[in-house]
Amino acid sequence: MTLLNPLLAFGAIALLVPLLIHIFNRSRFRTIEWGAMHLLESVISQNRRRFRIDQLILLLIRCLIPAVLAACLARPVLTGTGLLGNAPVGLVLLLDNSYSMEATDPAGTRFSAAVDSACQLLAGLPRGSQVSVVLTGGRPTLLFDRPLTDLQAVTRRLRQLRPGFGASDVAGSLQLGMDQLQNIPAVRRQLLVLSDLQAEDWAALTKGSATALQKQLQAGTVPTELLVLPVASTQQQSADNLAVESVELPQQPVGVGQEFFVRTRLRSYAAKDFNTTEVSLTLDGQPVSTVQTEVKAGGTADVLFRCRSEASGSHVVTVAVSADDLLGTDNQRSAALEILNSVPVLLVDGDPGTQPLQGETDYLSVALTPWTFGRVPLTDLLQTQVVPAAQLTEPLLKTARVVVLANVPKLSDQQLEWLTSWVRDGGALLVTAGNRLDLDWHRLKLWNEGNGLLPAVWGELRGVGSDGASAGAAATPGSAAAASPSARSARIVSRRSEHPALAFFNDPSNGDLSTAEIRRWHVLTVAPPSSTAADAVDAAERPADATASAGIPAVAAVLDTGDPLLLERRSGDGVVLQLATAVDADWSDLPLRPFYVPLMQQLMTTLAVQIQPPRNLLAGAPAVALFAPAEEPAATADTGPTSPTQPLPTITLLDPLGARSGLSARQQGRWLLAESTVTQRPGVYTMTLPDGLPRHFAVQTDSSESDLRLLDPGQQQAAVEQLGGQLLKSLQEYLETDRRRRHGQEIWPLLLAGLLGLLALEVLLQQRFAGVVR
Amino acid sequence: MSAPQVLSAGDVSRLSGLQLLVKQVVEGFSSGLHRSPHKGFSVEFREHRAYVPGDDIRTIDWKLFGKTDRLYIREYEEETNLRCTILLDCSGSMGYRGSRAGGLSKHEFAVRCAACLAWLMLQQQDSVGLVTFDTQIRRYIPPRARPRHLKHVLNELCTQQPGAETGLADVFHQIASRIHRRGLVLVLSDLFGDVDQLMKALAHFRHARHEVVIFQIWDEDELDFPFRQWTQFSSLENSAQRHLVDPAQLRKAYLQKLAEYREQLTRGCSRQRISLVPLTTSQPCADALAAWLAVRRRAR
Repeated sequence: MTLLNPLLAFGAIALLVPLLIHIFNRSRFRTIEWGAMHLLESVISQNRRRFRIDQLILLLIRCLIPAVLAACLARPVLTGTGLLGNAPVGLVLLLDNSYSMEATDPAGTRFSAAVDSACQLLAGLPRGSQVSVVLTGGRPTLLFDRPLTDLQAVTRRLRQLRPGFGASDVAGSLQLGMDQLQNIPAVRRQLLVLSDLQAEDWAALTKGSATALQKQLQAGTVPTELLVLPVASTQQQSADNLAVESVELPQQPVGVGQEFFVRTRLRSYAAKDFNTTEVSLTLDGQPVSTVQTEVKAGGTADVLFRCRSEASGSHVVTVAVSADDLLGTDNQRSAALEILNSVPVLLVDGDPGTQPLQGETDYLSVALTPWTFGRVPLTDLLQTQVVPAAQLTEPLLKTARVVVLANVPKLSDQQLEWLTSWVRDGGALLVTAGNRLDLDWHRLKLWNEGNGLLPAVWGELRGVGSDGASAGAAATPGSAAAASPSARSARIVSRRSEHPALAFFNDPSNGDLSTAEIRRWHVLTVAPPSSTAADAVDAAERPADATASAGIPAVAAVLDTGDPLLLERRSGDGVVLQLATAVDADWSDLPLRPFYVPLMQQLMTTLAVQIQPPRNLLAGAPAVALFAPAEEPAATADTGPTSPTQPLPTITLLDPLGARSGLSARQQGRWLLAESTVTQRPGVYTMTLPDGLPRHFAVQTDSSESDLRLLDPGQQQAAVEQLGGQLLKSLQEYLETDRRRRHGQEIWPLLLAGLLGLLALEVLLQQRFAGVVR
Repeated sequence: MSAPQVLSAGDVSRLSGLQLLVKQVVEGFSSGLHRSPHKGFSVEFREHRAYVPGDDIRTIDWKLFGKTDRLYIREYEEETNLRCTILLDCSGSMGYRGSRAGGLSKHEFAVRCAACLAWLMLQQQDSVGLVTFDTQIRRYIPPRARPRHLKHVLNELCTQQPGAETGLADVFHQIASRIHRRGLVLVLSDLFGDVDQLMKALAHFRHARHEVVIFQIWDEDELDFPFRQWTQFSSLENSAQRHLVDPAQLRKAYLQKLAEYREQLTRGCSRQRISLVPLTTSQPCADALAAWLAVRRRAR
């Protein structure tokens, strides 16, 4: 109990006044000589005790009246134990900024209600309180690096926030919030969750994690309160929502003018059917196609669009659905697509031929450029250039995105150095076997105990004629069976492949790889690379991530003998594929199979785009763009990609809200690399490179957030109770409770009512004792 | 108090022309206003009876003899004078002097009433006596009808002062034993005392066939108990008896007790066929008596 006007409490001394008046009256009595004493005396003797009690009651009431008046004027405040008063508070706001918070309630969006509540709460915090904000949408993120005491700055920042992030990670957010609270020195700590309490998000909070969080809350020396304020009205349980759940683009690269399919899936979270729903596809904002479909209540609908682009570069494909639902954010979804103009492929032929289809790369060249070879007026995506091994130069390498070493016996040391540097800077290399390989050179230089470019050393030669004296003599088709009756040919194992190039053949209609006969192949032994001094030096000179990316070779395809057919290994920023057999018809009948063309096309295009960072990202994944420097180094003596003194360009990043920010590029081998890790918000990010060309990144998030069903009040209570928290019915109620808890409750109105009651009681009792009223 | 103060000219003029008649037969010595139990030869004819030897021949109705040839005697109803005894309470409680009584104490008021009544009785040829008493009989003046008797009565009234305690029952028994002939007994008292004992004493009067009229003298203060501030009530009869009280607290209980007392008294008087006339000191005694006499005449 404290007093706001303590001096006025001394007025309670006035309680002596009625006492003094009582004593004064008793001492200043009048004397009457009375005749009817026999009446008076009997009355007095019979009621003496009652009169005394009545007098005491009246005296007590009369003494209480000035005392209560003084107490009323002193404005007492009723306080409990442990009152904090204006002691600073450590507060961590867990603000749900998932895109379900954009759903509109009658009073506005849920997010605006949450921000208003947060601002109201901040306005009532004592001076010196420290506030931290955790944004729970997508990956839990701190709004500020450290807790702030400038509450107005926090309020301003909150007002600028926009929702639209992915599903809330409740457990992660609570954990982050508690970690933040540990850094706030305050006698009282609060963790306030402002969320719509979406059923999907809170269902992910398991009982075990909730119990662990509760223990952690109670474990601290300073008590931590967990408060949960639902900002969505549970009265409005209509969760009618239609969402674009996914947009799927073709996995293989798409070239200019090539037609491709965009598959999209719509999902209904409503209890009603969406009839004649209009679904439209736009490419870079330009309408491409519009269809009407029907989505049943709680069901899905797939829509397939046909599309093509006449311009190369980065494009954005957006699917939008027009529906009258609760949440508009998820009514459209975008995906980023790279349209390739052409992919230059350099075919280094180790066994050129004089006759058609006699050269090592002749079949391959035809397979990669079928339209050109067939004189069809269509543009091939791949552009090939065949050179003999001796003519492989660095300028040639720089013009190519994929290099194929087909049955190349050996390279010069200079060529090997150029090639190694090119691959590790992001080049794609395919090395195929053949009868002209210099196995020693390949083992010593190209494999180099696993530290070279080759994923595996060329091992034993197997297959038909492999035990013959001259593999080259048996190279002619049809003569292999006679060379060694015990030897046999092999077939590719038919299995579901995860490799991007071979996944195309998971669909049997695209061709059956197992029908091909592999007559001769080298055994490729997969072994981890050994660390050498030279490699250590090399690794030290290269970025750490590039060193780490050089891993164990992965087997992409295998023969029925158990021997690997196709190996893949990343080398620096590049990738190397090793084919255990030849690409021409000498060692297999692959070129004679219908799937040879798509197989080679898939391999080349996959290799071409594999070195490019992905454009369709999950929320929070870094958006990385690799691009060539603006100017090539002029000096021929400078073998480095760029001069160290050359200033690095600044990249502009446009986020989904239209805000621009600058990114600093950094050198990554022969490329420049721009990276942004601020990709929490789903949507389209655009990097504008120094060449003026945009690079689009489509950031996606889990579409489960589109399920707008909320926890019902009972579930809310249970969920909060298992965390050991308190569910707030309204912010106003909480603020009033907190104000009382902090400052106590003024009780002068009660005292005033009591005073009036005492006055009335005094008059009533006086009248009653005097017999005026009965 | 002097005789003119006791019986003022105003009171005399207010009561002149009024008569106090008794409701029952009384025994007197001379003819007067009041019916006597003895038949005689007065002016008011009562009956004829046959002549018997020894009767006064002057009482023979000769006219009736001429008609009937028999001797009859005319008998007339005898009228007698009234023997009235005024009993004046001179106890201490009669000394109370209220603020609304015009400076009169109850005793002074009772004295005036007694004087008025004595004058009235003597005026109508009745005899009047006076008994003053407190715990005992102070003075007994037998009834006389002579006009000069008024002076004795008034002198006695002037000399009386209230003082001692009240003992009505014993005194009334004593007085009743001293009044032998039937008559009118007028009691001027506040009747403060035990009601049962009092009623028994009054019954003594009634047993002797006296007509009893009690003028109960009240002060307004005793009837409405108007006191507010703390007061020490000191007994007029016993100075050691005093109580310091808040009158406001007492008032309700006092009034209740008073009502019970008056009810008990009224019931007892009614049972004994005694007239109980409450008089308050705030009204002029002559007016009060005149009003009572008027009522009594109408009732007769």
